[in-house]
Amino acid sequence: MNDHIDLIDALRQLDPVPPGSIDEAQCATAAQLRMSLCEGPVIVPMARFDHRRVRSGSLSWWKVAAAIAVIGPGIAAVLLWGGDDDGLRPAVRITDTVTSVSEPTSTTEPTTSPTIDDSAPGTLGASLFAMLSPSTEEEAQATDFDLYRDDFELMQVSAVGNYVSLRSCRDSKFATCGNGWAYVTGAAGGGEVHGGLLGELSPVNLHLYLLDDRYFVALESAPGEEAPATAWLIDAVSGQSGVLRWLDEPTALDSAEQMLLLCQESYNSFGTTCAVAAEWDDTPFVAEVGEVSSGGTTVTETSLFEGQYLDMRTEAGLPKVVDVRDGTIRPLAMPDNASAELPVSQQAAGRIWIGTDLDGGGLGLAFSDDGGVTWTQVTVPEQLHATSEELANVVHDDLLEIAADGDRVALARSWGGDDNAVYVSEDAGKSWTTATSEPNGNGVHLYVLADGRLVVMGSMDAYPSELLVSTRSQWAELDKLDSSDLGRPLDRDSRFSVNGAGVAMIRSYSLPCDHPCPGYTQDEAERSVPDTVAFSVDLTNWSTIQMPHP
Amino acid sequence: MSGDMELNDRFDKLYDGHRVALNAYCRRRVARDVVDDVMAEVFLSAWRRIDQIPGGAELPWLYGVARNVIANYRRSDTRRSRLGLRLVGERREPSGDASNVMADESLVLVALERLSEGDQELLRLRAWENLSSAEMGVVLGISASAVDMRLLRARRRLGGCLKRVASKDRAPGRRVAEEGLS
Repeated sequence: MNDHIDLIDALRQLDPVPPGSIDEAQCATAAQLRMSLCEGPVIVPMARFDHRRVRSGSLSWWKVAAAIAVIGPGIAAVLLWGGDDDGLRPAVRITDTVTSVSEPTSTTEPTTSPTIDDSAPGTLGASLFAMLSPSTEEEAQATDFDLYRDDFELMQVSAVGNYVSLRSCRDSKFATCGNGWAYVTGAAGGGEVHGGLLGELSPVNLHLYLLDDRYFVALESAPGEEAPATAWLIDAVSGQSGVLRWLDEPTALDSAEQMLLLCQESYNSFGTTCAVAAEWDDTPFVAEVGEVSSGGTTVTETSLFEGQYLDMRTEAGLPKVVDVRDGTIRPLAMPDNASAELPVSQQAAGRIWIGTDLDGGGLGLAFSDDGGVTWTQVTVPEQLHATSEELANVVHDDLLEIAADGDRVALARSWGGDDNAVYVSEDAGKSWTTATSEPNGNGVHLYVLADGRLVVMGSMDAYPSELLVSTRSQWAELDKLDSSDLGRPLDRDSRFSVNGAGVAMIRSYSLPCDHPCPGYTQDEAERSVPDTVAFSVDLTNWSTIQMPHP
Repeated sequence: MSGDMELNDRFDKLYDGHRVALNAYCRRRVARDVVDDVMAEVFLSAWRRIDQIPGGAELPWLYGVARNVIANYRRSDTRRSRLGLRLVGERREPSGDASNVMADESLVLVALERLSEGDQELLRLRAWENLSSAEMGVVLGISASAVDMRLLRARRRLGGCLKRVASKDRAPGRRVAEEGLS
């Protein structure tokens, strides 16, 4: 079965009543209908419409319609439905439908007043790239919870606690922003909140990347294209933003004002993805959970897994470089065998890692210490010797997790099911050992603390299950962290995310009412929203971001 | 033209313009011998509300009524047996010698039928009625953006079901412990 099959097209081919298959002559015409009106067919009185009395071949539907037309709408209403016709009314306000069909939903276009920010500290301070301040009206809209709401998948927090959250137009009759998106910026612990509008975007292809302590990139990928549809640079401190310009020519990282869209957390919470163009898929799938003996035979026990997995858009999956000097975004210069299916790129201490396809098939890795000018090929542990395409396309989406610090590098399957082994190399991939422990759960997530220790977070679906940490010098020696080590309980009711800057635990909030929930659609009432985000770079000290909610 | 004549004329246009499409909509969802019944109810409702039907969105409006009519039928246990989906029975044969394709197509339909009714309807409206998101929003009473999101999820769930179905197809001895959840 082709994983990339276009299911809509497949369904279209299976249309049981394909276009042109109905002979119009079989249908009564309006003229026939009028004729029947004149004939005045006899219809038995019905306290309520009874389909059993209107069968094909004995009493056709159009005769019934004709009869009702003769009897008159008023009488028909009484006879057929007794005045109660709620069940037959389309679930839509008639007065709204004309607009929603004949006219595109209006969205306030971003109106910006250009101001060049030459005072912003950080890596972009000297940039000539013009960042634009949202207008007061735009900011008011972006921060209005009645218009836009946060989502889990599109928030990132930097190591110093600055954050950007992308907000989608609410699915509410009160919201007039259609398919519009907005961004909100702020900082852990409070302070100013800013926001701006991004316009109408595809939620499928929208991604948010952390660049450094204060700058982020919101990017809408274009399916099948390496060039993004649109990309914005967003300053989490000032709330300013600017549209990045795409260049086709690959570039190496040779300036402090160039930044890589890093491979970040490959899981759902609010982490973004390793691929520039990819999407999370929350399709449940069957996972094997063990062997069970039954009646003398052994069968494979399986269960449904409700987690999300990554659906790659491989054409655009290779890493990109943002150059803030001229506001451009372009491909990273990469080796010829760089794997679009498995762009496991990550930068630590200047080193960039990327997945590669080995000659004759199989997964490899390559790293570069000079920003992509030269690459060194690395062989992965034998246990991971699948092709990159296989790794990217299997149901579990066994993407590789990679964490590196100098010559130390750790690998694990992101969603290995019962294979949570962590492979560690202390010599830049020349030799590998298996870590002494592996986490419980069905997912593994790797993160390097600022002090050089490796953190291995096990997850059960979207939730943290166990934390292991290494010593600084021996990454293969993993010990379990308990709550006292963390400085807070390992909150198993929170989702989590690892984005390269730190680890976040996100507690959700559900509306305190079931549908019908005044002011909310059913979809909104059923979905939880982020409530509090606890973020830490060292797993000891935690800062909290309070998200707005109803 | 008098008011009554205008309404009559509008109903005629509504009927002539959409009877075939509505017939196809119904035939895709209910047994053929019930199609006439459903259409009767739909056009009865249309007649009664002829002055309320939104201009430019007549067909989605009719689909919306038909959807409710069919749902009402389905809620009646005594009628249920007459209304089963006829997808498998009325499936088109694939052209050419493509036994593998046929197998895959069967799996797609099996997977479709495993989805919730809401997901199925979304996918059918897009694939078979070829409606835009805005038009689907009229049928379902939700915004176009909500349609997009739900359609995305429905496609994912269909993909997931397809994988599960295919997996079971390849390994018939496999036991799915939580089959009921699927």
